[in-house]
Amino acid sequence: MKTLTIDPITRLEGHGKILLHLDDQGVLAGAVLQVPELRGFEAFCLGRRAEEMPQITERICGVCPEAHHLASVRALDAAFGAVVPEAARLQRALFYNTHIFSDHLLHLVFLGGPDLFLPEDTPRAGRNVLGVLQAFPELGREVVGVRARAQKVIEMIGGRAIHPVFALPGGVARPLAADELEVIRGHTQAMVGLAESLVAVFHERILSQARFQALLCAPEAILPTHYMGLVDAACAPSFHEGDVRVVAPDGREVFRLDAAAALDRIAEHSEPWTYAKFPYLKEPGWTGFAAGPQSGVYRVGPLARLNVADGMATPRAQAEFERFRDWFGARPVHATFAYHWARLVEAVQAAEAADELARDDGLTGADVRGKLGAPGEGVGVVEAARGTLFHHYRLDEQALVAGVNLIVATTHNTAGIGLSVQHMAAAVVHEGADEVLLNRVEMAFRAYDPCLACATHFLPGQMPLEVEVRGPDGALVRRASRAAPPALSVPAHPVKEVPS
Amino acid sequence: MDEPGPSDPRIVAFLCRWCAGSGADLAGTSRMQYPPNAIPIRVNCSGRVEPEWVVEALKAGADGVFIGGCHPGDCHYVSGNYKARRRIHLLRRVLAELGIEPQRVALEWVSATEAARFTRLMTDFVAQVRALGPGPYARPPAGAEPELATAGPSATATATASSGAARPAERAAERAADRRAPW
Amino acid sequence: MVKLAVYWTGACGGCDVSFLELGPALLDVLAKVEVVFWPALVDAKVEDLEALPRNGIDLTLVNGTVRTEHNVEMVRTLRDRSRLLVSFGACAHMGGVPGLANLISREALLAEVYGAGFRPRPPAGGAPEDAPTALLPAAVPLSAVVAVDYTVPGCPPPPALIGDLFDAALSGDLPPRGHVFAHEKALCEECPRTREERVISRFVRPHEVLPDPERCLLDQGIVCVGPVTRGGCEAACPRAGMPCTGCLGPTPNAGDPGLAMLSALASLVRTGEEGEAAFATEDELLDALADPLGTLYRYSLPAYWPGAAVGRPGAPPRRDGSQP
Repeated sequence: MKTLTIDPITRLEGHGKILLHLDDQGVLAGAVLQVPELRGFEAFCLGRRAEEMPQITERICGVCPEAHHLASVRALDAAFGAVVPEAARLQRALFYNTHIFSDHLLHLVFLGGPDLFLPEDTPRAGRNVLGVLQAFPELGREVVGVRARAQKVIEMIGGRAIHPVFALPGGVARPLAADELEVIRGHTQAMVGLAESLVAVFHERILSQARFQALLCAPEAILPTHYMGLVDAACAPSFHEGDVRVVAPDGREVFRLDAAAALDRIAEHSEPWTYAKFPYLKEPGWTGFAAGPQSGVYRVGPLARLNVADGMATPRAQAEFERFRDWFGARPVHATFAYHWARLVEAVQAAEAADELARDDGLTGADVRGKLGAPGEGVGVVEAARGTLFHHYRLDEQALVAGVNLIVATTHNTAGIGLSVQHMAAAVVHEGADEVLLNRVEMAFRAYDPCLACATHFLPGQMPLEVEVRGPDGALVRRASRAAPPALSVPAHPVKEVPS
Repeated sequence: MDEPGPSDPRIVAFLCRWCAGSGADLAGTSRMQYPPNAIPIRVNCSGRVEPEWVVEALKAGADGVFIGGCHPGDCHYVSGNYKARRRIHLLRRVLAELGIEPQRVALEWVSATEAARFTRLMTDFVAQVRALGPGPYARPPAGAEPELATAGPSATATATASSGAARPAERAAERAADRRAPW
Repeated sequence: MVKLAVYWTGACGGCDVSFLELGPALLDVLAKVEVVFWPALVDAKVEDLEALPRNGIDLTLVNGTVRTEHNVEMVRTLRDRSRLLVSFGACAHMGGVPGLANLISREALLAEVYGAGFRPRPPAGGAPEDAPTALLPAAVPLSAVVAVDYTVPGCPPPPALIGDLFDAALSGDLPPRGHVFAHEKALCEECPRTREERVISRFVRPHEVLPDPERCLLDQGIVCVGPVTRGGCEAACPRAGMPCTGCLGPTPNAGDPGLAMLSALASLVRTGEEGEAAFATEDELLDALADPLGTLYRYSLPAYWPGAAVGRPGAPPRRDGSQP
């Protein structure tokens, strides 16, 4: 038995290690995704001041602090029974769309970018953002410059570029000044310009490549799951308000509900051999690590959001969305590598929406705090770049935190990520696997833009995912096939129950 | 004065020179008996005592800290003792939330002539601290197996501040277990 | 070319992203460095790091709370290979927000989640070293485990301070060892708000009032720990209408920032004339201070209240659980 180790998994947010066990024939016998981080937010948030939660919980993740900041304040709005005044709502909306654009940009160019922009045989030393910036110097300069401008918008509204401070229950800290808004408008225009450049580069330099098209069609990367995302009244993706919509693998709507009601439709499954819990839809329920309509496994994130939507909220994004839909032909789109393209479509909407919002003079309104009722219980939901994010708080009568539950984007995706890694590993890994093939396994994982800092916020924190290929009698089977595997399901591993 | 034995509490006493310190001196010259556990530190005013000093004493291994100041209205610097009172009030809250018994820190008013009062207060305080057991950063006596003063307070404090819930012996055992890092 | 490594332990990623806040200046810095290890950004693996000679790295920046055995192993390896090692960000500096987990013992946490007698174990088919790394008894700052040459504080460090570090490191004009790349004076010096004679007659929580944008927040009863916190961030939070929460760490004079601020708050609380008659009201006022630990030690609990510590600083426990 030989073990190949990818340590650490790079170009993702957080810690990760993939262990691939090969048998004597060099065939994949097991694949483990292990995340060795643990910080314990849900424990140490107890006893904290409610109004500090947006600033405390955002330290779960320094890439998407804005997501936690907003999900947290939405939970507080609900817990205090507050109605947020329009000026505050606009501030939050502009802030958040700008963040989504910036975060997607980070992944498209810095994290996943090297997988997309560079040839697959690029040696490890050059397979990174520096390699991308060298290969595409002009685009690189525009990206760095516009990202700085987007971060400036976040800083001006949020108070700080990373770990903002402006959200308070019922509203935001302070009104925005007219001269600040003027500056912001210049920045959002630049964001739209870059979004257009990226779409052009994507079609000319990435989608045109046979290699990328092959990835988009790779059978081992097709995963027909349910999908979850927030939608607005017109059923377009909404990043920070709206209803939670879930569709089945065939596109049929399963439900469309507000945050608290949606949370009620989700349960968490645990296995004795892993520390992570696996969220799943109570209807149809947990049937194991499998895709398909009978399985409650669902995915979140850019691809999921496009799959639950009927169209986009802004014109250029809608145009790109139509090209996306046409290319695949079918809906929903189940190809995991399509996450990258979906991310691009969303980045365009986020830029356009931010630019549109910036033109609303209501942003300088003085009424930024809604009236608060007595502290109680509330659920807030937003779409982080990586997927749906729930914050659920219970407050005591002094408005201190008495209970907290967080379900973060990457956690929703743990079953999906595991399946993707498993399928990819089975298809490409063999004895003497070289750099390219090992990177392919990582790529499957990285397509989700996983935020392991988010996924490891909670006490278990660790996500070893164990995959074994077994025969009908339960014995370990040697599998040599490189063809599309049948839907692999993982039987429960025979270990002792962890006492509860 | 003999070194206090291993079971005796070690006390650090911050005494203001104008009132409490003089009262303590008077008790001494009057041959009044009180337990010798306290290490006295003279300060100009109880208001000079920084919370950080109290904590430093505990971290250095003290089991209790006694602060003696002037009666309200008598402070040589007018209002120093009022500040001290408020500071110790807040400090006790912080200690309680960290799982350290707030009764380990005392703030008492003693005038320069109140030798008997000082004697009684110190006797009572030593007994009180002895009953609480070793302090959060207590060291073992000299000659015992060397251990570093790195054991923190029993970290079983919860948000609802269950101060002093576990008995001293249990807490000491917990701390020892923590140091052994059982994995 | 300066050989640079950037590593994270129990981190949120914000410190790694903070380099991007340098904006176009980042490209200038990257042109002068060779990145030999930076998991967030480049694909170098642990074996690449271990292959480096002593002092094979000129400058290593480590961010994150040291929380697991693996964290300890990695930072010791990095210390061994690095000429200079920098505590980067509040977590490495003082323990950071995850340091609040030290309020709960590790055993209690694990027992609560997994049940009594829980032990991490390797997955089936894996070797013993494939077991998930174990938690330390408590989160600790970086300096509790390895010798640290410099500190860049903040959560995350503001771009100006990162720039100061790189200016010094790339030019070779380094300050004395131990230097903290932030202001020596308190945040109040760079805060635009006006300060008057300070009396706190009531603690006010940020969501309870829309504060006057010109006046000091502490004057308005909102607990702002600026007085004990280093400047260097241009008072970003008070400018945004929110109080400072202390992420740059204490000024050299403050000592323990939680206790220093506690002392300051106690001094400032006043209900009118001081005196015995006011004691009861003063106590009521003081008791209204909500969540003192989370407020006074938001980023610094492990640094000032080492609980259930690992052992002698610099000596992490052995694998068999015995103390060195």
